[in-house]
Amino acid sequence: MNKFKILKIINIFLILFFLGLLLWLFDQNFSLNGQLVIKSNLTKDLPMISKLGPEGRVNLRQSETLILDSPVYFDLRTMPWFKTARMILVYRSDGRILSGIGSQTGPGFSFAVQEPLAVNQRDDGDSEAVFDFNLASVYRDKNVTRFLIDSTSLKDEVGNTISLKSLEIILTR
Amino acid sequence: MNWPIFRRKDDFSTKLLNSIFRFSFILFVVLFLVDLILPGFVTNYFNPIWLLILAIISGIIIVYD
Repeated sequence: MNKFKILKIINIFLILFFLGLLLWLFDQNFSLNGQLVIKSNLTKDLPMISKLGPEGRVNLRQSETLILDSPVYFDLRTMPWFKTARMILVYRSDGRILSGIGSQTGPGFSFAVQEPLAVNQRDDGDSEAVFDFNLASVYRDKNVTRFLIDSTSLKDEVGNTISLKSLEIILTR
Repeated sequence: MNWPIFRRKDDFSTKLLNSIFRFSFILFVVLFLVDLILPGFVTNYFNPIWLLILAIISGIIIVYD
C-alpha cells in the first residue's frame, strides 16, 4: 500500500471520527428514549451539576455530605428542550428535617420552594424524597438553573444535620 | 527534529499533519459555535479544547519543520 492510499484512509477515518463525535453528542443531548438521568457527586463539580454550597453550610466528605445550615444550593445545566425534572434525594435526618427543594424563578434571591411529592422510608433507615419541577417556568442563566435545598432544625442547637446520600435527577423532554 | 517522521517537507508526515490540523481545527470551531449557541451541548460531555491543543501542536510542527 503506498503512502497516498494510507493518507486517504486516514482522511476517511478523520471524517468518520468527525461525524461520529457529532452523532454521539446529538444522541447524548436529545436522548432517544426521552429521558436523561443525572447523578450528582454532591462533593465535586460535574459539567451538568455542581457540588453543594456554600462551604460553611455543608460539610463535604467523600463518605457523606452533611447539611449544617439552610439553605444550600446547587446548579443544574440542562438543555432547553427538557421540560420536567424529577429529583430523587436520599438522606438521613439527624435533628434537622428536609423542608423542600426550591427552583430559582427570577434573577437574585427568588426561589419557589416545593415540598416533596412523596417521602419513602427505606429499609436501611434512609429517607427518599421525590420532587417534580417544571423546567419551563424556572429562571435560566445560560442554561444554568439554581436550586436550593431548604431544611429546618428541630431544636435551637448546633449540630443538627441532614446527611445526604445521593441526588438523582431525571430529565424528561 | 531528526525523527524520520518529521524529516522533510511535502512528504507523508507533513500531509498527515495538515490533515490532522484541518480536521481538528474545523471540528473545534464547529463545536465551539454549537456550545456558544447552546451552552452545555458540547461541554457537558466533551471538552473541545483538546481538539484545539491537537490543532496547535500539529500546526506548530508544520510551521517549524
